[in-house]
Amino acid sequence: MGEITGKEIAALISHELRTPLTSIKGYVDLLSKGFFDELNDKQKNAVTIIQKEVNKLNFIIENLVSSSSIEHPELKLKIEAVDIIALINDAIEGYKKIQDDSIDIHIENITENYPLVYVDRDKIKQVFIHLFDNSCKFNDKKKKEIRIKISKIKEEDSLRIILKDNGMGIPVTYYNTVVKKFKQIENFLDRRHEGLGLGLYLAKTIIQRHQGKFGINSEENEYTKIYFSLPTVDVSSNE
Amino acid sequence: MKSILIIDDAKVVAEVTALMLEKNGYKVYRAYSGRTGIEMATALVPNLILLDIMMPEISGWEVLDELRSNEKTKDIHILFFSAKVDDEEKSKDVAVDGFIAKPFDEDVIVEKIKKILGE
Repeated sequence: MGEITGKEIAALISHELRTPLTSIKGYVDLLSKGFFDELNDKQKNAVTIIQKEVNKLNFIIENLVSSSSIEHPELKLKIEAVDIIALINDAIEGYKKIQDDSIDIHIENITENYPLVYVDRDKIKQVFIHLFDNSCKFNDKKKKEIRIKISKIKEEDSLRIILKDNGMGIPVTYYNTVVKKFKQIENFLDRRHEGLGLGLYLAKTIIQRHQGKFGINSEENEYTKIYFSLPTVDVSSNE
Repeated sequence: MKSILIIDDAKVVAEVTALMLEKNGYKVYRAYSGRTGIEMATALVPNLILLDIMMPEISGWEVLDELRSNEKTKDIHILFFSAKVDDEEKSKDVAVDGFIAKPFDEDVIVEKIKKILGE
């Protein structure tokens, strides 16, 4: 028998965590729908909190599993033609299920007709959720916001997406650090911000698996801009 | 009323899933091991089986093989549900009607079942 790989350990841990999570999620969803009895407002509020925390826990487990498998070529992307606006709106909905903090997410030029992107829908949705989560987490302003700009890059058959927040920013010397696994600007053990430090690593790696470019531009205490490209043609055979 | 057999060694998961499906108008049977599941499937011939994969004694893969090689159960719709995500990729190579990852939302699993049963 060979050594157990990190990927196999992650798969096993994910199974052991997801099984009880399935029961908790199932029962709490039934409770929230008044299946057992009508809930009063205080009970509804408590159940809503449990639902969000369960979704957050599932998100963390998914991130751990993804971080162990996303770079492996045997992990095949499920490429399909996707409407980018619908995908972003879906990600915003998904993000609301795991986060309580209010953040204003606004897509600019939404009326423009964008070509479809050829992506793994679930993976790119994860990219947006990670970026929303990071923008919200590393922002101490009263009114947190993210502006999303979409533009066509004709010569590259791709769309450029830019997310600009009004958060605390990333010092230029840390651009390369924050996209590494389990890294945040703060030291691992002295962190003041929650999270495993996987968000930007996963976002960048998923974009690169789609043959896209990923970059950061930031001004400390002002903003962070994350920009990346998504293909408007099917490039899955080039992988 | 259409019937569904849940085969899952995790009793609490089987129970909560059964409650969700009963709420949506299905007659639901529970089996807490692969072997019991095969016996119940042969006796009851449900419209669909919700089959867990990682189970002791005999796994979901083996249960599937036995059901597909039995004249009485070979045509029953089978939907895998598993907490191991890489099972989804593997399940594409076998004769099942679909895959649901645990944990799941009630509307997602019900929609998938309705589609499989042509409702």
